[in-house]
Amino acid sequence: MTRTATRVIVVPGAAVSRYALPAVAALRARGLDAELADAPGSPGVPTDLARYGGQLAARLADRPDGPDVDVLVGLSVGAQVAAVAAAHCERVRRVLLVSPTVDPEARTGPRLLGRWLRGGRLEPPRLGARQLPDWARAGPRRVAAVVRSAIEVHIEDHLDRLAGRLTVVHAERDVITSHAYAARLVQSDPARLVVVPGATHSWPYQDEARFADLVESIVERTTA
Amino acid sequence: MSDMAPGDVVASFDSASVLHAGLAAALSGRSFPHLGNSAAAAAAVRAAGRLPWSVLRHLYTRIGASEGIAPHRLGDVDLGAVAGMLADAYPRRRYPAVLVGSTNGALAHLAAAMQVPWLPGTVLVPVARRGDPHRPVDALAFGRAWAPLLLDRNTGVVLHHMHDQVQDELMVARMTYFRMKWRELPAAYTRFLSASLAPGAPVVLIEDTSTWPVVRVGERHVFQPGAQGGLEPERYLARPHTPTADDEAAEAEWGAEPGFGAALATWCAANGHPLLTVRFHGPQAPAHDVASTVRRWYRERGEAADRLVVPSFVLGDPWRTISTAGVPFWTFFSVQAALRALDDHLARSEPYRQVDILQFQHGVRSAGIATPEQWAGVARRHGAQPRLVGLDPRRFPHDIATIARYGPALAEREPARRPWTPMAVTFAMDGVGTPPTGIRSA
Repeated sequence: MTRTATRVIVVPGAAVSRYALPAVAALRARGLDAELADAPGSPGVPTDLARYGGQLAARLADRPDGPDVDVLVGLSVGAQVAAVAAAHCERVRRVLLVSPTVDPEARTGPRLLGRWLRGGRLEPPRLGARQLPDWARAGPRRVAAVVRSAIEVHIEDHLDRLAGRLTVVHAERDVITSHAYAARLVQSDPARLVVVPGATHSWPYQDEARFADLVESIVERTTA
Repeated sequence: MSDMAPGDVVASFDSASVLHAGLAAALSGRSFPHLGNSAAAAAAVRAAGRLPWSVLRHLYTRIGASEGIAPHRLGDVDLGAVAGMLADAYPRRRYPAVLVGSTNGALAHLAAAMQVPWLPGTVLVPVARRGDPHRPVDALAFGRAWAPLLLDRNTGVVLHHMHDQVQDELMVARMTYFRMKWRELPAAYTRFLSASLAPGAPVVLIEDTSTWPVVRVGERHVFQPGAQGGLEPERYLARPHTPTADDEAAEAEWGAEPGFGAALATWCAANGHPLLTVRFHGPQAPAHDVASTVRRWYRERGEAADRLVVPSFVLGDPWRTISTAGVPFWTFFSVQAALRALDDHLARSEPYRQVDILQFQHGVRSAGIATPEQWAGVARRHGAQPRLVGLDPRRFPHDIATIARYGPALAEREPARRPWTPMAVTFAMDGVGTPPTGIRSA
């Protein structure tokens, strides 16, 4: 098969996907073959992040003649899905974890809720309106199940098995995921940390251009 | 009596401890407003800052002096525990390098850009003592009487008893400064290095070769009249009631203790980590190279890098500076030597659009001090717009509340524009004249 475009798959956050559509559209506008995967916990999609990651890995491996994934992007809890998938699929060439959850310091329901509420005050005002319909569609029980799974699935347990290069993005004003946790995930060469100035946990929401720049730079940097 | 808690042993205004705390915050992605003190304490300081100086001076001196340890408790000071407190302050992860040694604010900013820790080679232990600030001989006698308690308990350290009645006039009337330098690697440091260095990662020895005339009291005890700042050593030694110097030793606050560097080299050789040395003379020396290196790093990723930030002594915020793409030019104190260094940096650099000037206030119009007007004038002379950060120049040099205002003032700066990844260790070391060989690029 002839490769025509860089293939990017974006796994969005907990039961929400609309907020990530503009970022995926920005990648497509740059000529990338970008796909928005189903949100974990949305109807018909596992709420168990490890299970969903396994399913995603199987799907990617299922097409022997299909293209490799140049960049597998995970946003928030989607980062946990992406890490599991990449650990079980050698066809993922680069892994980009954005605002990866859950910080070990917040691995209880109340702590995570506290951080989520604090973080909500920093997010763009329209984010809630964008996410509410998705959450309503999934229902509170499924959202709660995703949160429980997020506390149990630890990204750091999967990183040793990654075949692809790892980049972890920390949004500077993210209070759900700490800078320290994001930095700790990139301890093995050539993994690297990227800090996005002024950004919040929901990045790249409303910041599609910088996101597309970053994805392109990751591909260029590691293509040589 | 039980040992003192390590947090109660070290002075809150100690340059090593405060710069270390600012860097620890930066490695956690946190800003460092009001020198790491609570928001409530900062509010109290801001309120007190409105008082007339005649009242505030009294408060400042009393509060500062309250930190002094009772001399009879010096035997309860465990500097190994202090080393543990310093090491434990950093987030646990594998680092691509660790800096160890002399205190330097410019290199603390470079470490923040690299996202690597620094383990100080010294801490300041303040000891309660009332006396005439202008009689250093009395301070020497006090140290001779009480220091053995501390030195007998802590065999891995050297005491540089420092007495600077010019810049610390208010404080040395009520306390005396025991500056402790490690001559061995404390166990907490070796544990930290073993646990925190990435495989093959270098250790960077920071070695300030500054020395000062001293009175040698014992093998591990010297007395230093004066300190780096506005006056040369001879001017201190010529003052009345000053003992005659009979030796030369590493400068108390900034200079490197040779034994410490040797111990570090031994550890590196035994544990398979390359040792790099950043060696310079005087605390102001690395600021130009650091500023130029950080500026080049910003520009390579597309930042304008046209805003200079001038931290002063402990007054500064490494994380806020780096995350707003501010170019740090650290100054060791608000004195003429530092002012000349800034002038020189501006003359040797492409023009900056803005210069944000911080100024530590020690409450005394001491010899050699540089005024806010002089700092602003230097910036203007090189075509930049000066901004005094959180400082009321009418209250200079008594605007103590600047320590509670610089943080909010720096927070008003716009964030950087471009996503960034920590500065590579190789890039940083190249920039400060220590090209490394055989280490991986972080």
